[in-house]
Amino acid sequence: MSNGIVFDRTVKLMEDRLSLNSMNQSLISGNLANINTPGYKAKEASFDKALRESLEEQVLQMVRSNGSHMAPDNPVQALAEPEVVESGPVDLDTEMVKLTRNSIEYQYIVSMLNKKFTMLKTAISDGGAS
Amino acid sequence: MDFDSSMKISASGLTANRTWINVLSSNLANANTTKTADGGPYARKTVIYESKETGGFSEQLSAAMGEGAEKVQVTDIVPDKRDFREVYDPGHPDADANGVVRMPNINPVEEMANLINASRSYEANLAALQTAKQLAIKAIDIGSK
Repeated sequence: MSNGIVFDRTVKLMEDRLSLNSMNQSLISGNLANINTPGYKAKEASFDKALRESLEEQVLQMVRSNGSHMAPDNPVQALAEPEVVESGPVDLDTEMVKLTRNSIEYQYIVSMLNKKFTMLKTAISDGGAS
Repeated sequence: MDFDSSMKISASGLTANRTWINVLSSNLANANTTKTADGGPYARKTVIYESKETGGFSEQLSAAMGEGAEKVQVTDIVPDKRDFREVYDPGHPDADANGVVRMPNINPVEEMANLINASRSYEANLAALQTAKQLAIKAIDIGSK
């Protein structure tokens, strides 16, 4: 997916984001299933640390010493692995809000991904001129 | 972690809450039962919930990677240890020499409150299951338009 010409970093980022949302869905389901389990602590994927690490990561850029060299690909900056943190007891309202938000996020990322692919298809088909 | 494990977890929640609803129904139905197979009045029953790691390969892998969403399971249905209610009713066939009948240790109000809790938890799990299904269907759409 590091081919910078067709699939740029946006596609990779959205792909990572979909995995994260899918993982969150599992954690929320687990929390809701265990809402009446004594001693169970709510689990959540903490994304903050992962995001910070991604932003702080120094990415080395390739240098073109000669104009006729091939242009390097944009380095793909994937989201770092999120960590699962445990908080207090399960709160139904919080979990339902997270469930809804997670679902909406997932759906709009799928829409954005589709838009991206539509644009690529438009480019491939010569701007729809035929 | 895929939506399959998410749906399995929600299904475990549905099963657990349905079991609890069955137990609560049994308690309510037997609120005045004075004779059981074991002798003595009906003893109130309660469920024990336990969280449990999911079983499949991909779930084990995810657990090893620290994602660890857990299923729920009813591990046991145990009788309540509260004393039986004692009602003075000398005409009752199960009354002892002093005319006292031992009735089940069930408070219908408490059972109804638990029933609402179980029913709402069931709905919450159902909502999670439907969301997972919706997202899985949405994922099929990637690149199709």
